[in-house]
Amino acid sequence: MSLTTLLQALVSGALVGCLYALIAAGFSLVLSVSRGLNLAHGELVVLGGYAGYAAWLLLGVHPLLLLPLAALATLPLGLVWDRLTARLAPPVELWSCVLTFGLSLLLQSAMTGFWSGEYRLLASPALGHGVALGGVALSHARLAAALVALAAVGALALGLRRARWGRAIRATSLDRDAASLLGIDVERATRLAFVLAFGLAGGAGLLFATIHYLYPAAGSELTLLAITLAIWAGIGRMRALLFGGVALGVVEALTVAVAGTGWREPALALLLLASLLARGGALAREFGRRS
Amino acid sequence: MTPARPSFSVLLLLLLRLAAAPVRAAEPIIIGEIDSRTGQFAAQGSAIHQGVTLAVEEANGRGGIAGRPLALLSRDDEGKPQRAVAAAEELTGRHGAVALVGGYVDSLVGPVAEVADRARAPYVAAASLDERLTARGNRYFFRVSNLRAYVDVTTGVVREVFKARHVAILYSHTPGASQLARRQKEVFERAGIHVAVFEPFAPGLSDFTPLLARVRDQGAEVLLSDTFFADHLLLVRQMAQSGLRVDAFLGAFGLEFPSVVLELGPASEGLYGTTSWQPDVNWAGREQESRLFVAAYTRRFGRAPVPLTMHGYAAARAVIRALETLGGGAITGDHLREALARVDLETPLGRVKFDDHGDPVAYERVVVQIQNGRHVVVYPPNHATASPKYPAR
Amino acid sequence: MKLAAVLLVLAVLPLLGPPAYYLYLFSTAYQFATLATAWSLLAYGGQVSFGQAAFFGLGAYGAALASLHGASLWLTISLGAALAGAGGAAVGLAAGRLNGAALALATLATAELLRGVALNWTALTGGGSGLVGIPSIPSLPGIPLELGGRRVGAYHLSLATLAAALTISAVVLRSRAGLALAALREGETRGALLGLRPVPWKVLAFALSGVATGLAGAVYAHTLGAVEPDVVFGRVFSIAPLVMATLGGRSLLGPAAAAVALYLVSELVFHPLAPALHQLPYALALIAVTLIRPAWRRIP
Repeated sequence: MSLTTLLQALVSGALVGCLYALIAAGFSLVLSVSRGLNLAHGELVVLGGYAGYAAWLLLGVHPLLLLPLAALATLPLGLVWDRLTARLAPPVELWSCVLTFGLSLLLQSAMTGFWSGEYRLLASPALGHGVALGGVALSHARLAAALVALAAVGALALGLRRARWGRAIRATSLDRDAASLLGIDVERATRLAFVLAFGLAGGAGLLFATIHYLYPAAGSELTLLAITLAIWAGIGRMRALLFGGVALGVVEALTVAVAGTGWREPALALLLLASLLARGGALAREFGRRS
Repeated sequence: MTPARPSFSVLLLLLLRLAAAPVRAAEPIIIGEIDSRTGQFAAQGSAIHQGVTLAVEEANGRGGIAGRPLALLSRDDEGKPQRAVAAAEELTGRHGAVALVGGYVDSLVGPVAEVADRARAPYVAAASLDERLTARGNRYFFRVSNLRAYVDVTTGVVREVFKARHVAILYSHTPGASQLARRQKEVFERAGIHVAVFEPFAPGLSDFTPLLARVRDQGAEVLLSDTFFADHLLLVRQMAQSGLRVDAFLGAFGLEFPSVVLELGPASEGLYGTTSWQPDVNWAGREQESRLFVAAYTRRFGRAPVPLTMHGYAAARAVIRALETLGGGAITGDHLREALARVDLETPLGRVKFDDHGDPVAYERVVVQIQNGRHVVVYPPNHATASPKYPAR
Repeated sequence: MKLAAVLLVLAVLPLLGPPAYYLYLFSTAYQFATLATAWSLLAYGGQVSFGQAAFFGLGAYGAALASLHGASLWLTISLGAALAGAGGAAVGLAAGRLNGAALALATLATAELLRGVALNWTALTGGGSGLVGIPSIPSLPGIPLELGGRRVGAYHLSLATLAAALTISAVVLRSRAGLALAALREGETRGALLGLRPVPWKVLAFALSGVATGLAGAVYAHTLGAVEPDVVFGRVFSIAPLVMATLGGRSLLGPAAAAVALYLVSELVFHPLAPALHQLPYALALIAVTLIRPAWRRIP
C-alpha cells in the first residue's frame, strides 16, 4: 500500500467517522436517559434520508438546506418512542430491544411500501465534485457531511454541559430518582432527549443519503454501528463518541484498503462482539445503576 | 325395408349418444409464474411479470392452444427461497400447472428448478445466469439468457475496441456477478491482458477512494464494474469527486437503463453498458417485431417496456410455442419438455432455441455507450450504430 | 405421553395422501417449531438470543458441505448439528459473563459475523453464490412413493428433528441442568452465592440450543437444495423463533405449537392476500408482546 493510499484511508476514515459519531450520538442520548436500546435507530436515520431525498426531488435546492426538513420528519417519532418506552417492564434494556426490533420491522415495511425496494441516491450536482490536497482526494459531499456532523455533535455536547435543558438531561441520565427529588422534571427531560436524538438521526440520514444509496434495509448496519460506538464511548459521553467515531472510521478504511470491501461488515461485527466481551462487566454496572 | 329413411333405431342411438356425452367446456391450460413482486427486486420481478402476461394474453387473443385458453397463475416469492419453493409446489401440485416461467434471482431460480424437475413441469427462467444450474442434468430447466453472452461481449469490446493492456474488475457477491468476473479474468489472462485489480465490491458508507486510487496506481485503463445499478452510481460519482478517471467504465448489468442518464446527468457521458434488447436499441432485422411489441406493451401497461420485460415475454412465448406444437390432447410433463427442447422461435430478443442443457443457443448481448444523453450500440461491429468514444473523456 | 401421541398422529398424516405442497408447508412449519423450541430452551435459562441464525446457518452449511463431499444423509445432518452445537458452546463460553441486553447483542453480532465470513470465505463456502446441488431427502424405506410423493422424506425428517428438539428440552427441564438454569434465570448473583457456577450451565444451554437449531438448518439445506449466506444467516431465522416462542408461552409444546400455527396462518392467509405486508405480523407481534404484559410472559 503506497503512502498516498494510506493517507487517503486515514483522511477518508476520519471524515466518515464524524458522521458515525453523529449517528451514534442520538442512540447514545436515548440510551442514557431511558436505559433503552433503540434497535430501530438505523431505520430512523434511513427514514430521514428518504425524507430528505423526497424533499430534494421536490425542491431541488442544495441538500444541506434540507437538513431541518429531514430532522422534522423523524422528530415526532421521538415522542412516540418515549411513550412506548415508558410502558416497558423491567429489565428495560432487554425489553426495549424486543420492542424496538419490532418497531424497526414496522419502519422497514412502511418504507418499502412507500418507496419500494429500489435504491435511491441523492446525487446532487452541488456536491458532485471534490478537491485534491497533496494527492489525497476529498469529496465535497463527505467534507460537508463531516463538518455538519462535527457541528451538530459539538453543539449537543455544549448544550448538555452548559444549557439548563442539557443539565437536566444529564442529571436524569445519572440518577433518575435523585434528579426528580431535586425538582427536575425528568419526564420532560426524557422527552426532550428523545426528540433531540431523533432529530439528529433524521439529519444524519440526509447526510447519509448524499454519500450512499438508500434502501429500506440499510438501517440494520447503522444500528450496529451506533451500538458499537455507544459501548466504546460509554453512555452519553459526546466527546468520547467523537473520538470513537473517528477511530472506527479509520479502522474501517484501513480494513478496506488492506483486505477489500467485502471484509468491512464482518470486521464491524467483530468489533461489536469484542467491545461487548471486553466491556460486558462495565456495561452491566452502567445498566444496573438506573433504579 | 325402405333404405331411404334412416332407421328409428339409428336415430335413437344418436340421441342417446348426444345426451350421454357431457358438454365439454374448454379446460384452461395453467401456466405458473413465480417472480419477486415485493421486496428488493420488486421492480425487476414486475417487469418480467408484465412480459409474461402480455405473451399469454396475445396467445389467448389468438384462440389459445387448440381451443383451450391459457390461465396464468402468478405468485410472489418476496425474494425468499422458501417462498419460491412453496409457490412452485403449490402451482405444480395443487393447481396442476403444466409449466413455470419467471425468475430473476439465481438463488431462487435454483430451488424452483429442483421442484420443476421433480414435479416434471418444465421451467423456463427469464433471467438466470448461474452456470451451475444448467450443469446438473436437470432436464426440466430452460432459460432464455445465460452468462456466456455477457462474457463474450464484455471481453470482446475490451480486447478488440479498447485494446487495453491493464484492466480492473470489481464484482458483487451474487452468483451471476462473481461468475462473470471469474470468466472475464480467465479470458483476459489467456489473451495476455493484465487484470490489475480483481475484487469483490460490497458497498457501504466508507470511501472507495482508496480502492479507486489502487485502480489508478496499477495503471488500469478499463474498469469493469460487474455490480448493479446503484453501485455504478456510487462508483461513478466517487470517481468524479476524487478526480480518478479511467479510459472506460463498463458496467455489464444496469447501465443500459435510461434512468442512468437521469440520475447521473452529465457524469453519465461515455459510460458503457450491455443490453440484449431495448425499445430504442434494435439490430439485425428485428425492428418490425420489436416495434409491435413496444406498441402492444405501451397500450396494455401505459409506459415503455424495459429489457427484462422482453426476457419474460420470450420465456413465455417459448412455453406457448411448445404447447402449440403439442396440439390437442393431454399435456404431460415429458411431452412438453420434449417440445420445449425442439422450440425454435424468433422474438425481438432474438432466436429462442435451447441446447441440451437448457441454455439458450443464440442469446446475444451488445455493448452500448451513452453518447449525448442517449444509448447507442458500439460493439460488435456488425450491430453497431455508432462508433465508440474511447477514451471516454 | 401426550407428546408421543401427537407425534405419532403427525407421522402418519402423509398416509392421507395430501399433495406435496402441503407436506412441504408442514415440514417447513416443523423446522420453525424446532427453532422456537431451541430458542425457548435458552430463554428458560434467562438468555435471550437475537442470533439463532448463527446456529441455523452453521447447521445448513455443515450439512451442505458434508453432502457435497459425498456423505450420507444421516452423516450430513449429524455433522451440521454438531457444528452448530460446537458454535453454541463457543458462544456460551465467550459470552458467559454477559447477561440480558449485552448477551442478546452479542448473539446478534455473532450471527452477523458468521454471515460476513460465509460471504467472504469463498474457497470454503462458495461466497455470495453459496452452495447448490445439495441432494434432496429420500423417503424412509418401506414407504411407497405414491403416498405424498417426493416431499414425504422431508416431512418425516423435519418431524423427527422437532421430536429431537422437544426431547432435548424435556430432558433438560426435568434434570439438574433444568434446576440450575431456572436458578440462573431468577438471579445469577443469588445463584453464585449459593455456589452455582453460571458459565458451565450457559455453555450447556447454548450447545443444546445450537444442536437443535442446527438440525433444523441441516434439514433446510436438503429441502431447498441450496444455501446462501444472506439466507441461512439472515434475520428471519433469528426473529421468527423469538416471536413464535414468546407468543407460545413457557410450556414444552407451547413454542412449537405457536410456531406451526403462525407459520401456517402466514403462508395460507397472509402471503396470498397481502404479500407486501408480510413482515407486519411479526413486527406487531413483537411490539404487542412487550407492551401487553400477560402473566405468562415472564422471561427476565
